[in-house]
Amino acid sequence: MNIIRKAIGACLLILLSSACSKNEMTTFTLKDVSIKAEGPLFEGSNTIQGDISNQLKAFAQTHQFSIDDLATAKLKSVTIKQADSSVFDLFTSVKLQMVSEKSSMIDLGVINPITAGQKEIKLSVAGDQSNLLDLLKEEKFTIVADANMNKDHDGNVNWICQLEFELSYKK
Amino acid sequence: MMKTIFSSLLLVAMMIPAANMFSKKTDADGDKLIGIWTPSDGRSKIKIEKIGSKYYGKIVWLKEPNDPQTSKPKLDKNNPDTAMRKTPLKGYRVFKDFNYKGNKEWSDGTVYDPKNGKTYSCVINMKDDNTIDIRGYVGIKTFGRTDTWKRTTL
Repeated sequence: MNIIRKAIGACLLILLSSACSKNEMTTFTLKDVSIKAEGPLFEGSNTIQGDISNQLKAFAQTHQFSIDDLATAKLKSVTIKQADSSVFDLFTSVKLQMVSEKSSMIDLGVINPITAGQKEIKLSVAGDQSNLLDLLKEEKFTIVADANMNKDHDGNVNWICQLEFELSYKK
Repeated sequence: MMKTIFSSLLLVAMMIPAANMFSKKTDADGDKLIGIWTPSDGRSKIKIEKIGSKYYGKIVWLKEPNDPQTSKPKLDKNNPDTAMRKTPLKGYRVFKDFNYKGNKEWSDGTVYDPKNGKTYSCVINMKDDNTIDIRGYVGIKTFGRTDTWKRTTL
């Protein structure tokens, strides 16, 4: 009887300690993500894309946790600049997505309309971010922008994206 | 008896590589899907392109590009994710994540219906170089709907 009491007490203690242990939060930023499209580009929808290698492993190592300890990833902000610092007047809207060979494509954010004279655009972040963490953990993934253009453009398009994520992990 | 068994095994061993040869899927065969297609109702045109090894399709032309209520370009107003509802339908990626399986079939992908904001499993079969069958379904392929699309230009 005494043993059973002790066992129940131990179980309760484990449950209580696991309920009390809070996840740590940190901010992870994918900086200077280059996405490109080769011209000529035509009025209407164009695809601008770039591949990224995993940066999360190195980040986790620096912050002394493992990517297996990650509980959640949430995209907080997305900004895009043109590599040559020009304005976005050729573009009327941009939708940003993320995909890998193993995972399905997910939405990251959208901006519509793009007001004239902007050198940097900030996208509204998608509400449904399921599978984001799985994608971030992969060795390689692709950022894909669907950009609507208001006229033809002979040159290439080179954009620099910055994506800021809030991560939670078990300590 | 042993001779018969040996002959049967030899025949099977010879048939396996032959079967592989006939069902071999190549990038060139898969890429036949790339291009611009129009559904049977002729109200839109979809451009299918390749990202990595998968195929994606987006709306590049709409017969009625503007919303009659606002007279502005149609938006994805039925998207279950409210944050994405201001995405224009022109340029919208309605086909996602198709893999070429060989035998003129692309599957594992989804098709999005902007009319109701629902996403369905989908399989694409090429009947000839300029005709594809698009079958959208929920759960089992048997309970779905097929539309025949024709290759077109912008």
